[in-house]
Amino acid sequence: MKIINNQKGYTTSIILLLLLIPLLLLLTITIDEYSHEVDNTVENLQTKKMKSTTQDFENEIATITKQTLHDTTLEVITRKQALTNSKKYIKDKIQSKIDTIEQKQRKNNINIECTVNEIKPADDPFKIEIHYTLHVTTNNSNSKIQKEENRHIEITDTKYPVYDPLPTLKTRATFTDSKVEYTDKLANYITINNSNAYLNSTQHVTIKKCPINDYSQHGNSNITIKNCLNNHYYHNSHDGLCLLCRLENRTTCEHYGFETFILPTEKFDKAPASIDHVLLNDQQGQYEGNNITIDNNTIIYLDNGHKIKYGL
Amino acid sequence: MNNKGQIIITDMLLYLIILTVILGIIVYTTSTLNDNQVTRTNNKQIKNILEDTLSMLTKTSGTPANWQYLDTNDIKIIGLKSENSQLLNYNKLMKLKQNNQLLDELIPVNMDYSLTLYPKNNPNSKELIAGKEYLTNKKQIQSKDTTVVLDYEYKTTSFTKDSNADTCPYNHDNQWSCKTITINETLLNHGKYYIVTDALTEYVLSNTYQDNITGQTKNKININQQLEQLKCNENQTIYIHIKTNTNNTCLVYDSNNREKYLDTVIRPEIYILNLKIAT
Repeated sequence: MKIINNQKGYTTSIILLLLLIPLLLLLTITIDEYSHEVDNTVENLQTKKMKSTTQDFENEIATITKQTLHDTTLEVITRKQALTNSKKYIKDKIQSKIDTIEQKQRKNNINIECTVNEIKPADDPFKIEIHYTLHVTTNNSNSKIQKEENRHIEITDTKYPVYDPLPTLKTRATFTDSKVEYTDKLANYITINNSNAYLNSTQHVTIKKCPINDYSQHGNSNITIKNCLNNHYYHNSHDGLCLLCRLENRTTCEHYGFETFILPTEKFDKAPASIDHVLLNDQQGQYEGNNITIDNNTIIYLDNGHKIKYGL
Repeated sequence: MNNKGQIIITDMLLYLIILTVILGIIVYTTSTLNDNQVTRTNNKQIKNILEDTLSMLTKTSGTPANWQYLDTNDIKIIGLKSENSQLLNYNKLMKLKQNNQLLDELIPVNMDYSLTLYPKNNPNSKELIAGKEYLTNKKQIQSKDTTVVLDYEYKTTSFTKDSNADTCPYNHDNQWSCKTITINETLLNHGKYYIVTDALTEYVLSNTYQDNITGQTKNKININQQLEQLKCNENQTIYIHIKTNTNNTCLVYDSNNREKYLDTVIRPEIYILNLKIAT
């Protein structure tokens, strides 16, 4: 054909060029269209993955906090060494565990940056407040999640029991199997009369919240107060110390705290009141209470304030 | 073309014909591609709206999260998920059913939609929650299903045997499972307490004064009257002691008068939530 076989060639080249340009343009548009669709699908998948990873991560923060509180209280009790700044210690421990998870997530192309800003006692003494900032991005997408959260974490989860460190820190008594055997240590620690009422007493130190909300009902029957004593429940108290102050071996606490009964072993008419923050207080903070006989084997000593509180 | 480089008229005609044919193909292809693009973009847009709306409805609780109890003017955005679980809130579904405009705001004006719910094992029993029942005379309809379980807003406490559980005032052995609740006049007036189970269950209800009432059930029983008898204080602590061979026993508090759905506490029913969007 002459179109292809002309002798000079220039007309054919121009026509071929004219034909090739739109073809190339069409090809580019089609490729771009499909590439854009693939990009969009990838972006959607990444965003979904990021959201679900963030949700899982946040659930894990609650578990990490509970685990850390369990480990920390156990460590303090075992070492019998108080923390100088419990908030910072727990915050750093949680942060370090979070950092480990962040590194694992980076392998999945999800960049999580979570900063624990603060740990403090919540208004409910059986909870701890954690404040954190979360920044999540992925390598393959422009989406990001950024938020600040305040969460209240329960310290009474039976999966991660939290122990009361105050008895061992104050008296140096031995902790075994969730309880403290005081031998003569508590009696020696108490500086007021009839401290021998607490010779060889035992205290279970797993923090469990008393299920009776109206504390005055403890006195409705012996069986009710005995059930509370047998289960070693803790109760809300303005005078009691919060968990974080207990870890620092304090005597007073500006937060709303909790208290529990310590059962005496000897019977007197009057003896130091059987409340932990009274017995484990300093000399000025200890006071006595009157004998309350629950049954042949169980007595406690309470001052008027606590008698009214527990309806006894 | 001759030897002098001039174009011969027949060659020229051939060029023009071929050029016209090629240009025609190009124009046709471009136009088809554009049409396809527009259709695909529309499809994609509908698909995105469908997926986003369904995802928002089933995975978020809305703002405020308790919007099912608020006036429609106070609702910013809806979501059907319960606040503290992944289940779909029945009260939110009913609020949406009565106020379709809440979902209208999320779907573009030129699109029709239909949100229906039906039990997975009974697809014929469809209930229209929002939108139009039939989407007729429409060019395109896209549909998406999602599996959901409904939350009827019962407050449930499960009685599972736990060897590490605290002792109860009656020092029951491990054949029993015992829980503590606090009741008051308001709770008893505004709702009903039930023991729900799937096997013969003995129960003892006791208060802090050692008063107790015993009973048994194989299915469900309303215990409000018995609790009323045991209530001696404003906020009375009640111990519920359960002896049964099944782990499927719960204490349920129902403040919405929905006795007929109580069985779902033990055997949750799976539903399909379907959203159709049409243009």
